[in-house]
Amino acid sequence: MFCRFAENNMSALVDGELKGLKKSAVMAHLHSCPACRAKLSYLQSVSAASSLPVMELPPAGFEDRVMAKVSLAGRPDFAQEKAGSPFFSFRFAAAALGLLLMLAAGLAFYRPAAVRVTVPEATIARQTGIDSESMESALNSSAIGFATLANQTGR
Amino acid sequence: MGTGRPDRAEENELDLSIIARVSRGETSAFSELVAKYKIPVWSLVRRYSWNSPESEDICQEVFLNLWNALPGFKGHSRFFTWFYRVIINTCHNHARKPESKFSAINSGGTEQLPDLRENPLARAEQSDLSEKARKAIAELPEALKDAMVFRDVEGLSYAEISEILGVSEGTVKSRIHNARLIVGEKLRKLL
Repeated sequence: MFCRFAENNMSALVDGELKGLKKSAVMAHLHSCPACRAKLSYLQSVSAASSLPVMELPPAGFEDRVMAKVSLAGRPDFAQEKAGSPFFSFRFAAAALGLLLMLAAGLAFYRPAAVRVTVPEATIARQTGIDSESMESALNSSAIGFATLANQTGR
Repeated sequence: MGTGRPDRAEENELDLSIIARVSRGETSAFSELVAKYKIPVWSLVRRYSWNSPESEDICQEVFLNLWNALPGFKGHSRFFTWFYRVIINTCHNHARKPESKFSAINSGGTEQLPDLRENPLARAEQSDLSEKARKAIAELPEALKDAMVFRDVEGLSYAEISEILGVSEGTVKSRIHNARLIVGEKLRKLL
């Protein structure tokens, strides 16, 4: 079980990337486990083999050939990239400001709409004991219609 | 680039000053970047392409891509980190071309990880070992190869590799480990 944990962390140990408690735990395990020490040695040798330098240089004239290709390719547009960035920033800032202004205006003029709940007359009559004729008369005589009815019904 | 990087911040400043000159119209300043990075780029490309006869073409393409992409470098990351991406993207694109002579297995292969055994490499001659290790690395699946090359060849930290590849450090750790297991097994068979 612990061999598995140690093995998973061995490459990091080889690379000096294992720190703190993990490192202490793996080191302690290695101290007591010859099989894991062998695995560590194996990984160290693979890493050493892989990092052997390549003893080669680019062929003679490489740099000249690259520069010839670069000349043929023409100059990339540094100006456009540089001009593009601030322009984008300005447009972005303008759009953000516009959105903020719209949001502020919306909040300033916002008035919540009155919620009108239409309850069927029969239901009101059943629940309040006010018949539909009285209700109609009340509604007609009152300028505030629904508000009066609401007061009467307590709803 | 390379393991012997004395001071990366200082090098980055130097790179930025060269790029600034190029962007102001001094095209010849680009040759300073080519001169500075031709050996590391060559070394890196050879790790990817192993003995491919296309190595020089790929290296030239790397610098041409760098030239074309340079206006897009905003300095949000260090130049070498950004340039590494240009290099590996060029190598990956090249390996994916049907006519490519890359020996790479590529495309996220699912090779079986070998068992770890007694160190089989201790007796090998170093030069022979170096060549065989390069071949074994070149044949790794792309994701594993990137991580291993950046660690073992370029000497980058897990944090730097994570930044270049855009993956977590935990992923870098496991890719490097798996790559070493595969390369070790290949070397064991080759030696």
